[in-house]
Amino acid sequence: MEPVTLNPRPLTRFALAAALAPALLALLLAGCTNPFTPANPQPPSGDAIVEDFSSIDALLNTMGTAIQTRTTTGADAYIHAFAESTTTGQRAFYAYHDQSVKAFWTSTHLGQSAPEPWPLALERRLHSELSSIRQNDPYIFSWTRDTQQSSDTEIAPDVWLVHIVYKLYATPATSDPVLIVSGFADLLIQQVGSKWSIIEWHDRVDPAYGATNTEVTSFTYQRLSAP
Amino acid sequence: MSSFRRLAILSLAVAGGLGFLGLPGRTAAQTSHFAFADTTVLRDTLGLHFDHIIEAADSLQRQYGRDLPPDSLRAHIIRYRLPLSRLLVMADSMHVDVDSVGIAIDRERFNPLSANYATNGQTTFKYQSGYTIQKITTSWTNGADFTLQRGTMLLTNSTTIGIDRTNATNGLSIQQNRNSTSQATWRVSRNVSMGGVATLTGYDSEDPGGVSNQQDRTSNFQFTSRSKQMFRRGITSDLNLLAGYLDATNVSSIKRGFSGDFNGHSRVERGDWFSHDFTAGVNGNLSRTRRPTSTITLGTHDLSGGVRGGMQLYQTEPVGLNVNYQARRTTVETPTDADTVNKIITTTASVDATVRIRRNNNRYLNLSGNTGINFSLQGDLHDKGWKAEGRWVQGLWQLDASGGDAIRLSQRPRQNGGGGYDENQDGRQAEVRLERPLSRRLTARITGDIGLDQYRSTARADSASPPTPRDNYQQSYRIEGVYQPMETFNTRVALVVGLIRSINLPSTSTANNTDTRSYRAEWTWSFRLMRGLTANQTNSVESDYEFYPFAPERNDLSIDYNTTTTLDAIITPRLSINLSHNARQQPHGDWRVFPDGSGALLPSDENLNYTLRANVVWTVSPGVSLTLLPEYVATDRTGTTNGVATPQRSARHLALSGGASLDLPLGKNGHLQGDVRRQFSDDRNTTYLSGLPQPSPLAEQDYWVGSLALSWNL
Repeated sequence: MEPVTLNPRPLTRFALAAALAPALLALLLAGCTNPFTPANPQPPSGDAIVEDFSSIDALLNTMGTAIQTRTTTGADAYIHAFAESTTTGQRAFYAYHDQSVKAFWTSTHLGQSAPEPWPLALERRLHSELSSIRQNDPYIFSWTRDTQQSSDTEIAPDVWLVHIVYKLYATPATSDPVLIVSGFADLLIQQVGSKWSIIEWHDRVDPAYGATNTEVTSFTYQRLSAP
Repeated sequence: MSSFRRLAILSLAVAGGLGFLGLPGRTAAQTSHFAFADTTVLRDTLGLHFDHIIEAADSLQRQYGRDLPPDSLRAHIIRYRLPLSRLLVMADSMHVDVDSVGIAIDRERFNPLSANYATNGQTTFKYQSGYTIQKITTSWTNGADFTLQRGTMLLTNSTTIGIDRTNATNGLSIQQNRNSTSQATWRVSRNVSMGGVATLTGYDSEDPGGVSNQQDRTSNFQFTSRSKQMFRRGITSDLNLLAGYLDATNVSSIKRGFSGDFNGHSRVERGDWFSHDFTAGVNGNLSRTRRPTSTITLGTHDLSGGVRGGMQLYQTEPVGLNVNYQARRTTVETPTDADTVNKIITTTASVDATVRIRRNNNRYLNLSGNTGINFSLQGDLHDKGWKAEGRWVQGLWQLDASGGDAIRLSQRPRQNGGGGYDENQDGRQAEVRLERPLSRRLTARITGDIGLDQYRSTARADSASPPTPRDNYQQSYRIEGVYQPMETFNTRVALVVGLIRSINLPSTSTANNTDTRSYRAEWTWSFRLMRGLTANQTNSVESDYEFYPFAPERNDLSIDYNTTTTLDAIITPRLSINLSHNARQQPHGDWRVFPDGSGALLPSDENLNYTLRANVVWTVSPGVSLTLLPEYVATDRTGTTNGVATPQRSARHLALSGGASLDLPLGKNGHLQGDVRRQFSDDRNTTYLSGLPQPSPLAEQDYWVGSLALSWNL
């Protein structure tokens, strides 16, 4: 192996070229627009959704606000509440349907598939499906802990099992709020760094309305109905 | 006693106990330009040498224009037992990439038109059987390979059958996979062969939790004809024709009909200055298809045709040109639930060209451009871009620079509640690396990179929800130095400073914009304490400041202190011990910036992790070894509320795995490989409620895993 030496060498034409190259490059760059300058963002408006995923409650509140906001911003914020697997080892989001609702849906939608587990790519459709139920009425989404189940449990390091009851109301201007979606969910929520995200959604029908009710439906029904 | 002190004592004990041993060891010499390369690949020996493998991989990566890491190259050398120089010569003569040489060798073994095809008769039969048992899954595989050659006749068969059984809570599920390929070939003349091939596959799945069991069957019987031509010196070609009967049954369709495949390849060479490879082919089937639940049979046609090629001009000259192109159109027809035919058409085409200006491996410039299209059901993609990369070595200085711009237009039609928009992506990247040995023992390197990805979208349908227009900007620089005062010791120090900006443009999304500034310092060292005993340590500190430009109250800071120490000891030629210890502390919390510009961390939580692992291997005999793998992991998390830190959770994990591995020859023709281990683990988690510990029950697992594989040659 040839040893490395530090002996000075005479300046060759290549050395001269190498020395002049940075100066030439600087001159060229000075005359051009910097191709790496990002665009200037607009100041935030009142319609903005603050995506706060710093705790389980903040995550679920952000998800609720996103469902209430029936715009692209709301859809983006909604999908950000779920885990996305971008590298090996990261867990991706999957939803699991209520089997009685799934059986009812498949019996009334012959020939149509009912994907399960339900991946993140399909979950994007749920936001627009929910938004289209009552297109002209504002929404209110509420969630509470399911007191019939155990309290939040850490089933694995940084993975919590959380049981919730969810309800979505349409609020027409001329009448009382109308309940359009209701159900239970057993959620697995993980913390990666400072961000919490939902990795599994096990949906359960609200027995007060049943699996065959099409006026007050569950997320399972809405997911499967999303085109 | 701190974990570091415990580790130091343990290290000294191991080092002292092994002090009387003297075993051979080796290190790799390297040129200064590759001082930063991972040299561990050079320490491996299987009777093969890996000298200059890093330089060769670097050169091949440039030539192929794709990633070819040294360890991948090393894997090919080991797998095919070919020295690097031999591998390079064979790749050159076979006109294939270095990592395709092995595949080409395997393929040519059974090509009757190959120049190396042996005409003396041979009969081989190889049987393999394996059984693997895991905690809830067992797998049983059986396979046989048969070859019969008599003169110009060749008969081959390869059959595999695999059965997986999984005992889950909802019952026993079973999957069976069966594959068989039989081929009969007769070399009619020196350049023509004819024959037939039968391909049979089957898949069965029984799952008590599934809606229905799955059964797939495919049978394909084809007549084959292969020929090769040499029109004159430097112009060669080969043509292949396969045609026959197809029968495919699966959960969604039953398809029967005629299948065919016609393809060819030609190569034109003119001295050292010109070569052109061209491949074209068309395959498909004309079938009658129906859904399993339907009585209506439909006519379906599947067709796929494509061309691809590559042209090289003046490869050995200072200025050369490379052009690659490909185009393919695929049509697939499937029955729908309404018993109509659904046609799916996919079209792709692309071309790229590279001008290589090369003085030698230390002074070169490559300029590339590419363009391409992709039309499919999901939408249309239009790509174009350019890339430049070069290296200039002047004396002890080495400068590497690269840059490029990739532009993509995605046109998404409105369907399934999504799409209905066009999106333009523009990604610009640039990187510069400067390296210089400062002395015989010290080398320094500076790397800087910058990049900007811009996404802009336009709605094409009234109800479309196109993605948010946004920019992603990143820049970083890394300064590092390697100091190697002696052959047995080297150390490296690095500082990395980075900025990542996530910039949403519309006012409805900018509240979530972030600027993440990262600072990372690393120190690693490796010391061969004595022959057969090497210690390595990596220490790092990283701070990630996440700033919200429009919501400073959400600024936060994550800190990561990490240290990993390993001891690799070869105590005797038959006994080796690897010991690894990791300690990690990760505080996190809000980051508040005061009016005077200073800041403070308001802690919210902190994780502490300690891991200690060992791997003891005792080779009892050349075919039998015993392994012991103990592991201990301690995890603690504390949360801080109103400045008071309280424990939130602690977990302790102890695992022990021990077993034996077999690799025994059975006579001249047989081989037995196996592994059996006992796995034991204990876990206990403690959560805290109002500061009071709530320990979980001790979770114990204790089970056997193993595998046994027998192969027999007749």
